Amino acid sequence: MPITDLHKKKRFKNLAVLAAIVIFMGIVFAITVIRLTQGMAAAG
Amino acid sequence: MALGYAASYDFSGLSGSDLPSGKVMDFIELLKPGVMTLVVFTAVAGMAIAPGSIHPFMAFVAILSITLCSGAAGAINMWYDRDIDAVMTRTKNRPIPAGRVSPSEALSFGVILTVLSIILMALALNWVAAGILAFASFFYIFVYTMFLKRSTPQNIVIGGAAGAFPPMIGWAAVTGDVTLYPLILFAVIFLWTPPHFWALALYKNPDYKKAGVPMMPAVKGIASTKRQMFIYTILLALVCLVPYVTGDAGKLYLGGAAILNAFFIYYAVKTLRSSSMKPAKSMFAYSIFYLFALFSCVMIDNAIAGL
Repeated sequence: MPITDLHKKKRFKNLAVLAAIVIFMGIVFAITVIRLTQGMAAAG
Repeated sequence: MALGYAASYDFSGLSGSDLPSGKVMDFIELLKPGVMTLVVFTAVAGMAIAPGSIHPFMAFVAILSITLCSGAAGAINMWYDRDIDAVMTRTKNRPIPAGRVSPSEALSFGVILTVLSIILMALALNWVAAGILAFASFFYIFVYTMFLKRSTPQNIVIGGAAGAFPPMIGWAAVTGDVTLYPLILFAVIFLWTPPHFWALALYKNPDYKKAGVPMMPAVKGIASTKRQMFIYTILLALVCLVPYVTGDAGKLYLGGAAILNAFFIYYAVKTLRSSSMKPAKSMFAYSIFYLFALFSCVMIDNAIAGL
């Protein structure tokens, strides 16, 4: 995809959106791990 | 829908200057960080006093969800009220009326954050907390912003309920249910909202009149508003006694609440008697300190009782 003025201008905002998506995925992953661990601990 | 914003542009023929130059800070401003602080603090108080415990990471996710959902409601509020905001001196420099963020960007941002925050709360904690969070957001956006604000001088009285939910959400995040104590804290914030908001409306009355928002001072007059502020302050002081009467809070809370309410009543009387707007400004500033201090008393009292 060609790099236009628009891409340059939106670069920081796009990176911020990417960071937000990665953080969201990380949080969901951590929730899953904690729930699994708690579930296994409860099951003995 | 607004999500199609980027797709609706022909990128090839545009330079960056053709689009709103929204910076990350503008999007943070859309979240109304000042309001968010009070919301988060009262939610944390609800979590802190709730019986039981949750994993620290889950507590973090609960606080994050409440923060994001509250901010998202603020962004959608700014999207809907952009016509009013452009007229009022207090709000004309907000990102949308100032042209730094487009309305569709703000709406997309708010809707996405609302959905994500409710999903996070449901995944990490429980559906009761997620349900109350969703209802609070619905109430603030559809009932307060879109209906009450422009139609009745009772807008912030009824709409105040939206801001009163956070302690209930915090409590429900830990316990999965809602009992009397979080409901009392709901009532405290509900009764605190009219004197808090009307103090601001008193000295911003010309601004609200210019925008055509039917705030109490503009519709019923300044004297009537001041009388009502005094009545709500008295009712608030009485409701603040209830946690002690029910045994949910101890003497430390009672002492703190008594002092804080004595000063709040003092400011209400001063505002009632004065013809200048200075006491209203002081009362508005004090009301913010009041809520922080009162919920601090709730948490400290609970922590000491648990020792």
